[in-house]
Amino acid sequence: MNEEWVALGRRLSAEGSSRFPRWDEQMWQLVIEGPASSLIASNAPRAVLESYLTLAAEAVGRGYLYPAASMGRESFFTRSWLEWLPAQLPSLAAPRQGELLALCWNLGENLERGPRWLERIFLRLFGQDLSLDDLEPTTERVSRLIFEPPVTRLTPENGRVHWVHMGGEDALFLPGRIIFLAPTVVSVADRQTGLDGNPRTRHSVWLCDPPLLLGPIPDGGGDESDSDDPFWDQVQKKDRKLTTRYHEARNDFRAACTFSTSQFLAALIPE
Amino acid sequence: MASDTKAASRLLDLLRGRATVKKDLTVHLSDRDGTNLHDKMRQAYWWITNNAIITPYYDIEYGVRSQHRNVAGDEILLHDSMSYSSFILIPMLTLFTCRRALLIGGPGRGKTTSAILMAMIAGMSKDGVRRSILRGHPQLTVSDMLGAPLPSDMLKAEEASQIKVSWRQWITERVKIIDEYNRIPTKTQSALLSLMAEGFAEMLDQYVQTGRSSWFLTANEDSGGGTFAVIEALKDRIDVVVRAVPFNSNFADALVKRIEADTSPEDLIPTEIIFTAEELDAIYDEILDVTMPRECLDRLGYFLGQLDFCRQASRRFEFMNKDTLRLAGHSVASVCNEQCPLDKRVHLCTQTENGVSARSYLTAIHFAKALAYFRGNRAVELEDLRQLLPWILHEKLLPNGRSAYFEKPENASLLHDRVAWISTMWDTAMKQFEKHEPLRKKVVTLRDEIDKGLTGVDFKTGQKRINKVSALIGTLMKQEFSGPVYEDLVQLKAIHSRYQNYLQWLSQEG
Repeated sequence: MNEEWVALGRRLSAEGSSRFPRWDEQMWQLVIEGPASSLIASNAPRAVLESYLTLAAEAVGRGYLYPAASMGRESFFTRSWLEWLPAQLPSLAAPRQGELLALCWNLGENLERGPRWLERIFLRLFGQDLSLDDLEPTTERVSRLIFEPPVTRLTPENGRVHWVHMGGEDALFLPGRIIFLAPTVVSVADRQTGLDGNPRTRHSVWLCDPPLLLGPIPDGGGDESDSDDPFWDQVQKKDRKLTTRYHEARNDFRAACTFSTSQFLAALIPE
Repeated sequence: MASDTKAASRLLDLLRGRATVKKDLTVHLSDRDGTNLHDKMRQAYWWITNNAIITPYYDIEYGVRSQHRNVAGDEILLHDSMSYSSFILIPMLTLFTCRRALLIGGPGRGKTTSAILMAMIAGMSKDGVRRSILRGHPQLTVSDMLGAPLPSDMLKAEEASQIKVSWRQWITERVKIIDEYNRIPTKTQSALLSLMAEGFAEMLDQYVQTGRSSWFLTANEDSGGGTFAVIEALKDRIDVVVRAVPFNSNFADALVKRIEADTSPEDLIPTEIIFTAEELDAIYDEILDVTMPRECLDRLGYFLGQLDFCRQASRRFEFMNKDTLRLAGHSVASVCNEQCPLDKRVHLCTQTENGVSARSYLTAIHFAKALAYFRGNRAVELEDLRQLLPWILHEKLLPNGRSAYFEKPENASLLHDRVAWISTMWDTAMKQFEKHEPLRKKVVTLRDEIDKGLTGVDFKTGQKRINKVSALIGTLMKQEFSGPVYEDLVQLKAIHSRYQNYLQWLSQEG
């Protein structure tokens, strides 16, 4: 890295530490020495490099970036700024490079501000090798999957039971009450409570085929549906394992229930 | 079709934000809209905790407690939820609720630094803060404190209204710092009292308003024993006490770094945690919107209400309170003896020389809402009150050192640690509340009934209700006549009087 870029890095570091309470100098050095150096070496346009560094400094200050190798949570910002952008920008046309920096920033910041489960679904569906040049159509596809109600409605006849082991990520988790957060996303509360009477933790699950565990989320949100739904009695006729239900929730497209003596969640998804 | 539009708009929302690319390929970031003030407040707290004031004392604690105890009986409690340092958090809550805090502790413990940091995160410059600190000393006059008439006007003026007063700048600052307030002479303290109590100062028929502001006073000793004794009314105007904590030697390396960097924490405050006046006002409004649940209010009332009760103070029901003793020049210690049948180990009334004013209730509600807001809750929790009350009542409650309660060896140390003493009283009161609650609920039901108003209540219904009140008074009189029972009886008697007056009026109206 030549002197000019080193000086810019120092200036952004000084500005960042005087501006942001969360400024993390170690994280900034990690950006400078890793992805920023490789991007600079790729001879990307000067304006793009400057923008990349300026935005990266803002992301460090706002606490959007985590060291890739740490136990910190996975985030779109970390993946895009530390992996995808430095690797893919050099092969794209210059105008597209600037455009993608802005798009990645906006998507990353919107996901940071949105519910945790939303970012997790995006990251799972983007996969390991997201092509940034396809960011808009990919985002559209994922958005539709999450926000649009599915085409097929759930009936007792077409519902197929998927068994989700909720103890997979948290061995002590005892699945309890269920809340729908989106047409195909539920939050499942731990039956164990703290002294304040609130669940010890909540985990979110994406009810797709096959269902995906999305990890712990801070609070439930959403509306709780009525239990004792006759729908379940009909489904139970198909699958005798659906007895001794602890709590159940259903909308027009998906249904899920937990059990008094099991760590599994039964998710009903139309075939 | 409608869902297509919805999904499309969500897609646009996700890719749209404050980053835009210009023709020259640079990416511009506009200012963040709708800044989350709660998040900013928490960032400010953590920045001060991690960078400015070195304190490993996290004494505002939440969550389940696990206990480690040695054979000598010393114990340490570990909590499994968030903990905060009162020395930083309480001044912050004072700033955001526009209250008045007294920082006490020995010299060099960071009291003034803490107050300066509060002023600086409220947007004042370092030099501005230093200039505006009012430093208490034995020669401080009212003019030194408030300002003085312009000498030129004094010579030319033919009447008082022509004399302009040059008010001291600190009076109108959002954050007011008074260093070593217990060194201010009594006469000047009185002028300060008017300023704190009324929110304005007067000189030569001219007035200056303090505006919405937070006050930070410091004192080197918590006994009020500076050069001058602090007048009672001034003490009562102080909402909360913050106790400075000693330096922990394990953090000496942080001091080395500070010396080597040749900077002070005030020089390094990040701009992102500095609040504008509008933001401070907005936070205050958001704090006021936090709900105070009825149960919390009931329990707060149950605790504070019984502190003023003294069965020995008077034979007359209405005057069985500690004010009666005080006005007669007596102390609780002089009457709280074996002639009072109440068990001194159980009843809280024996432990204090005084009760608290309505101002303490207001302060508790204000601070509890602010703490709930800081913790990200929309409603106050009982634990918020438990954590705050020791700091709110610290200077307001005087222990009755001669109470039989403090004679027990395990309670004796509570006499010199007011935080532990008040926490213990609260815990005792909460246990007692569970037992008393069924009766109290009946009183609350009757109160709710009358609070709906008497319009349309006929004579027969009024009679029925008055009979219910009398019956409940009868039930309560069969209980042990203690502070909580007395509080309920006062309320029931008031309800009875209101019904009685109403029925009297109905019968006169014919």
